[in-house]
Amino acid sequence: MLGTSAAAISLQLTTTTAGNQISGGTGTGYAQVSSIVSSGETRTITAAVTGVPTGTSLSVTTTPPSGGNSGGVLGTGSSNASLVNGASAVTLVTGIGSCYTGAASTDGYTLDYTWSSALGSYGSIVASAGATATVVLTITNIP
Amino acid sequence: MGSRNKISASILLFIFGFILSGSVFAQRRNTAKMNLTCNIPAIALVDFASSDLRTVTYNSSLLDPNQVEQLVSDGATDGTTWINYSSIVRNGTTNYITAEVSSGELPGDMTLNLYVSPDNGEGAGSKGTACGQMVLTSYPQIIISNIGSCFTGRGLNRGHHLRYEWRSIDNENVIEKPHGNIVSVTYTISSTE
Amino acid sequence: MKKGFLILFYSLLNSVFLISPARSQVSTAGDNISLSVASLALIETNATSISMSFQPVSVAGAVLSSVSNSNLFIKISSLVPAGTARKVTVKLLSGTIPAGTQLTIQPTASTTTNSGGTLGTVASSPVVITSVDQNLITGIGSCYTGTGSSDGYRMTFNWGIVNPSATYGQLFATTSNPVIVFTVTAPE
Repeated sequence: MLGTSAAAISLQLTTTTAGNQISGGTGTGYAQVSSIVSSGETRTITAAVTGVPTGTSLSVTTTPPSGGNSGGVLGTGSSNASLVNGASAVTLVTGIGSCYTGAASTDGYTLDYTWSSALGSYGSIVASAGATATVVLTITNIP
Repeated sequence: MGSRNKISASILLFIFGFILSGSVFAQRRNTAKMNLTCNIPAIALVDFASSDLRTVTYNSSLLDPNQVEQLVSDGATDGTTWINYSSIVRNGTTNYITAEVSSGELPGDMTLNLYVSPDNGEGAGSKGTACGQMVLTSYPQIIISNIGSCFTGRGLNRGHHLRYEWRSIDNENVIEKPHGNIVSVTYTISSTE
Repeated sequence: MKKGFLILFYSLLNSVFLISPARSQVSTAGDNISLSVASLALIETNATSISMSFQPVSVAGAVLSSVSNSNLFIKISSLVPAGTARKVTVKLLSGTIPAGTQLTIQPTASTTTNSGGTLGTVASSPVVITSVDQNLITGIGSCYTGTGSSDGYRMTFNWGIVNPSATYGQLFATTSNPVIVFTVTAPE
């Protein structure tokens, strides 16, 4: 079972220095998991995204929890997984067994997002406010 | 019948069924959505990279365009002035840079020419189109137009090179040592919005 | 199900009186009567199987909550020699309790509606079921609990996860059928 807080994570790209590229889009979300597997089974968490603004790139570094609210086989995270609009789901966490992360909104797997401007398509970047990119996380079985 | 032996015990058996189901979890919620609010503010920032005298003023609101000001004195400036900018535009709009003589007196028998070269190729995005050559007046004239979302990079050899030249009134001869007047040229980045 | 019997032995001889008309004389005769009460222990329950399953969590990130079952009653009939007492013990006879989980049993003192005698003392805290016999009820003398389905010592089972932060990874989806045995011991 997978859950996350409903609150949106706010990211912004800008600069205050003439001549510089816009930068600075970082934010963190959390995904809570409760899992019971059959013997020999592991699960993975994958992510698919829509709505990433044109001319920008999104990536995420995922870290399993290690605090007192969690326990069991929590799996292995990943660094800088690239999230591209419409691409097939990318794997964020592997090797999840029976485990729990705790149910508070800051419990769970840490997802550190990095949103940056893409040099190759910089000219297509358009100023916007409140555009929403949606990351859909899925926990799947690997039998 | 004699008395029964005092040791006696009976045994009952219980059978437990333990069920710990993983498949039940798979039927419940196995997806979650994270919403990311992505903000890209419109920006229009301009600055010099130069060893010449300059004063810089910035304004953060797009309604009050960003400006930089350069003092131009005797003779042509050497090739050390570069204009840098960062721009993020809304759909259907562009930014442009104007130049005007903002203070000091233009002598009546001379013209002040500004040469703006094309963008030097650093940075990324839709850089503006340079005018090439412009005679500066006290009225703002567009010297770089059609700036989309881009950045030139910061410092010397980035963005557009600026060069000034004093000429005789008929614009024929270059004057090496003009009267000694100092004028200020103000560059302003604005939006077509 | 085996049943024993409470057996009483007694014998009785008739005595015959002779009455003499000539003199008033009373004769008496007697016999030894042997009454014997056998030591006895019988145990029965109101159910032969108990089923327990963990409910899925309703909130992501939460641990499975323990489940409990209090439907089981143990009924006994007991006769003991003077100065002795029996115990009821419990152990895992065969099968397994799933890894990462723990099954405990908490006995409650016998119902009083249909019972009588020295019903003993129940364990004050839940007993963790293992393959070794452990005491549930001690100090059982001569007594009976009643035979109804709600008579006797009520047993509360609790199946849960102990120390989840250390052992949760050992849990797997499974169906397990351990066999638990209750024993009434010889008096001592």
